[in-house]
Amino acid sequence: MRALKRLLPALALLAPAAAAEAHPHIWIRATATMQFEDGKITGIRHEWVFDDFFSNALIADFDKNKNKAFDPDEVKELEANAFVALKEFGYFTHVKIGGKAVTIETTRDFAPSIKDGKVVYTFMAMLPQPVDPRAVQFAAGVYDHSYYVDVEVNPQLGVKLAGGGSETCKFAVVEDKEAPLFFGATYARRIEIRCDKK
Amino acid sequence: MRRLLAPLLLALALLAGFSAAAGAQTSPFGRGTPSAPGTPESRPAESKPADFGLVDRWYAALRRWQGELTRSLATEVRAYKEQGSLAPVLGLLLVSFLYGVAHAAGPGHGKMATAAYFGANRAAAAQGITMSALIGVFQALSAIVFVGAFALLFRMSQTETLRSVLYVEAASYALIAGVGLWIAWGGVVGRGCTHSHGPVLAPAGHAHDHGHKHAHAHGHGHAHHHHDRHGHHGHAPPAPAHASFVSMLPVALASGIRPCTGAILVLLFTLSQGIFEIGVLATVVMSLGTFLVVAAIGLVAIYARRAASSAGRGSERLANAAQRSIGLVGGIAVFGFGALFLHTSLQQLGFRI
Repeated sequence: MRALKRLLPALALLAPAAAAEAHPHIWIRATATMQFEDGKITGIRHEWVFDDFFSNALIADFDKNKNKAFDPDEVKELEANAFVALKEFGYFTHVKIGGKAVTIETTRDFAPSIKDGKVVYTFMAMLPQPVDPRAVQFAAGVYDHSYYVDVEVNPQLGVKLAGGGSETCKFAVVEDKEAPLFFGATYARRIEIRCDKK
Repeated sequence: MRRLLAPLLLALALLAGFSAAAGAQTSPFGRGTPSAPGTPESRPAESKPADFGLVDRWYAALRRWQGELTRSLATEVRAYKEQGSLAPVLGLLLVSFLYGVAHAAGPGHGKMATAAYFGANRAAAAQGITMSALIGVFQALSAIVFVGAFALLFRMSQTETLRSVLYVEAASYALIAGVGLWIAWGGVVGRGCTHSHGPVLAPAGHAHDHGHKHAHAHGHGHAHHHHDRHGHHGHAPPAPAHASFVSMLPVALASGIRPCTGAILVLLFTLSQGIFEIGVLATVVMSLGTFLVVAAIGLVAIYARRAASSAGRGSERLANAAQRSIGLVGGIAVFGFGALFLHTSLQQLGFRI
């Protein structure tokens, strides 16, 4: 592995070509809502709409009674087998507070559903503690670094701000130069939050 | 035949091993157990030039394109399921074909390996086509066998099966890296060079024509015949490596064994809808698209190599040197791609490298 690692810089030359080879197996159209409470961000409310294929797989595996909905026991099963392990990947939620990476450890309100044949996950990724974006720089990205899952966040419609104290805030989606994908062929996107002083 | 069996058995063993490993995985949404959350790259922000605009745009276009194609695959399958008429099937096959072409048009799927191989080995056009056909056949078979075995035989869940594809991909990239080294090594030791004693009397094109006929006659052509005909005799010179069927196999196997992600997706999708045969049909058509692209590239490599060797007709040494360097450089490039994809693949599996 170490030898391979040493080779990587040289391999970076192939990056543009390699980017073409990068092929996700799952696609997600995500909406990320920054949830405010008293002017502080408490977490990110996610809505993930899966592609037809993966939706179909999830439905085939977990909608046991084929009623085109996830019943409570099916939700439990789904959560245990197709959600919990996302924790190891930080729920694809890459938060930076004051420039420092923060790992998402807990979620709330996980609710899977089926809409028009597509599986939708909604859940809230909780920050370790509420963050005041007026006091410290807050940024978040939603992506899978390994590109097994292609998470698409529409730079305009895919980001929302909600809750008390969010009214004077704005977001901007920028390239995250600190998160190169494919050895620098491209970069992850980062949502930055800026608020006017109260 | 026995020589054919060895690589095939090896591949099967590899597959079996990897599937066993895959079976041991729990699959959350298809994701594996290992590893901590992916920490962002620790590279400093300033270390990269800021201007990746073009590549970035190209990448974005590619990504959109891939997504669109995949989406339309699903749409067509669904339309067929709902209407049961022929039109969506034709639509599905068309999209599958395009998918096969598009997929083969990116790196991987054996184009690099095929080009390097034919750049370094004397071969006839028919062999180039054989090689690409082999890749296409392996690719279709691997997807169908894979989904058939995991989902139907082992009753693995859809999400688990999808997850397990990654192991096959990792294995195939390791194989490709290996094939790259093998081609490069061929360049070092001069496999594929002519070692005819005495001056080359026949123009290069002529010699190639003989090679061509031989390839058809024996599967792998030895060159001594045309030496005899031109009055050379005696100690048969070492056979210049024409591309032989047996030596093409590892390249074809390594390139083809990675199932098309699109094929896997369609197969799983149709399987759960009870129209698996439509998925199989789509997979075959996809491979056809891939086959055509790889064949075109193989042929370009073959004719480029010929042109190069007839241009250097005066100097056999020059021609050999050129061929060796093609083998070496091409082989190393193939190895590089294999290693790079293996790295990505392992990352997707959740290993932190």
